[in-house]
Amino acid sequence: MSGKLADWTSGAEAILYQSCGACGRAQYFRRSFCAACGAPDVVEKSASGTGTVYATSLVCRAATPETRAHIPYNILLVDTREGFRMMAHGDNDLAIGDQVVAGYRSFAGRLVPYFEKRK
Amino acid sequence: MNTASPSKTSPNSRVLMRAHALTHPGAQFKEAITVADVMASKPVAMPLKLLDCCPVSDGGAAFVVSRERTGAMGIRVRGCAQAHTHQHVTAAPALSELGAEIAIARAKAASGVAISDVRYAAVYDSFTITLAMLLEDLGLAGRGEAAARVRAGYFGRAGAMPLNTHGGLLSYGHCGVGGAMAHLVETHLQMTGRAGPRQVRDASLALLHGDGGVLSSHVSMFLERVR
Ligand SMILES: [Zn+2]
Repeated sequence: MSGKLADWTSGAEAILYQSCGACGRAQYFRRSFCAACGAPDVVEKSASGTGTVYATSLVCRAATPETRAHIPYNILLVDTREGFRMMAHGDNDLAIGDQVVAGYRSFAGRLVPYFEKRK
Repeated sequence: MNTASPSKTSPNSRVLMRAHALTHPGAQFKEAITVADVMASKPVAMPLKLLDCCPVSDGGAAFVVSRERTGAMGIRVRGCAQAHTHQHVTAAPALSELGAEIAIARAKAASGVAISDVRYAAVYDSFTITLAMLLEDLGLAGRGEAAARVRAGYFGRAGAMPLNTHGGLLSYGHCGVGGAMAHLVETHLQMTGRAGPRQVRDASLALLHGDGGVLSSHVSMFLERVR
């Protein structure tokens, strides 16, 4: 059995997604089947970390005491090169349509993907 | 989170919901506000400011559903339909293909009711932008025209389409499921002529629309008064 890939949700500097062996669709949330066509043969892959900003919202009110030190912080929806959309952190001056690349930072004690403008 | 700009589209709807709440003794908020107050309120998650967001409320709502008629007037469900397109916002379809449009199309087909038949509207209003989007998705305003209709008094108590006359989630209050149930309670009071000083001219046919998740789950329902 091959080793299981690790991603940021378990502290590793990586973004994983699933690719459908039947229809080719990419999905971010892990499931045992393809959400588009229902095929059971989804394959876990590592994403490039590049994409385009689809939406942004600058959070100015902390949702929890642990996040208070971070405000204001930007929450993004990023359309990745691989074809799935993900929510992530990023620079506060990012705008819709910006080409971005993922790094990793600590947020409220956890490692999270953090997007910056691609140079 | 949204790609539209509520600063251009929706503070007026918060002012309207507050004005409606002033006429309801059970509403959480008792003071009138202006568009300037909405725009000057502190930022929460931009572009949404504090007064673009519904409050966190304590409260409840209740209604009794009976098989037998309890008065001279009864309320009949003409048709109801739902649509569930996603849960997390990253999995949402394009803004122009949200579940509200699917649900209302199915409810119209199930009931034979057209939007032009509707006399009273109860629409989920968690945020000013949610209300603006739903009004347009449901066909109560043309695309991009919700704000103008709110400003023109179209959705006021004496307007062509009275909307959330209790003040909605935005100003009556949002205590979770009970917050949305209050829309139905107010609709029933209006339809049966028991809304007191808030009573509208004619609430003989009403449209209810509920939304759960992050624009994820939608239910549209047409109610009709029967004698
Ligand atoms: Zn598939």
